Amino acid sequence: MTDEMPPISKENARAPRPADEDWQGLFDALATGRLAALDDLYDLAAPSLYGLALWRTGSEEDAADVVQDVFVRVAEQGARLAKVRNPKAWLLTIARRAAVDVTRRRSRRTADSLDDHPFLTVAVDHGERLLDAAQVSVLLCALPESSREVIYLKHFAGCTFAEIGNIVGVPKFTAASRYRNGIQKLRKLMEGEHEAR
Amino acid sequence: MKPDERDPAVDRLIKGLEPPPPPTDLRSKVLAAARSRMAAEEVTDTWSTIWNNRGVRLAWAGAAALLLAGHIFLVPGNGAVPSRVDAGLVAENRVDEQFVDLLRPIQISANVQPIVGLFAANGGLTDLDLEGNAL
Repeated sequence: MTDEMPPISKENARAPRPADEDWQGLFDALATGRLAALDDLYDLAAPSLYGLALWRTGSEEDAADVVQDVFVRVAEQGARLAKVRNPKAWLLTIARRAAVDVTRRRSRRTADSLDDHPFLTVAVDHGERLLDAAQVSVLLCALPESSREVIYLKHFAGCTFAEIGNIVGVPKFTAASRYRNGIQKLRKLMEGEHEAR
Repeated sequence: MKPDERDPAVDRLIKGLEPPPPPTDLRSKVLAAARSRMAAEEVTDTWSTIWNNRGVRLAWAGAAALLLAGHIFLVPGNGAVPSRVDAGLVAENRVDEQFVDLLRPIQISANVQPIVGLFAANGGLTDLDLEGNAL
């Protein structure tokens, strides 16, 4: 792991959103030793964690390892989980750190092919966008990892810039700046794509 | 765009798209690993149990405070601070004692008088018996 666990009780204090209560309730249940809460937590958290890990590592195999790593670390925390104020941000922080570690370790071998594991797939009832999913994945692949992960956290994990700052380990304004830089680069890439057609 | 708002162009770009879901076989693998770790964490050692118990921690802190207070207030004696001794004087006295020991003639027997003194006083050994006592 890059460094120690993220601080349990130093996260941004803010009014809890409805979905946050689910995360908090599951953490409280796990803190009291209710193993069944692990299943619910997996169903709730795994898609976000896996997505972030995939966008960060670019490898389906590594992303799966990251998710497993995160859940093992959750299991290690025991009663301390009750003290976590923002479980979602806390889990994403651990996932992001694990993904960074995996990326560093992976330097000896090549990443998986993007064609096999794209960053985006088509949601249910949007089959007409199959081609777009592949094209957008190619565009996203051209972005720096630091910008890509911020875009993911903003658009798919629904985090605020303050939360993204905590997760990525940068000030809120740096997180916002990375997001805007990523968006600008994405626009340029899209324009280039249109001109190429 | 407002400070914490999502970029609408990206929203349009990704509309109908989503990150791939985790592989279906990952769920059982992850949950098995987490459960086994959770079970292992439950079997904690005695010291961890003590450390994690608030009551025991308080009892330990109380006992330590009690011992400290007892040491401060119940030590036997009048509590007077012993006078300070000049270290130089101590060293000087030790040197003198060593010199005295060095110069003291070796006494062979408890009955034997220092030969040097008697010899000088009486003018020779002729006045001493075989054991060296004065006649």
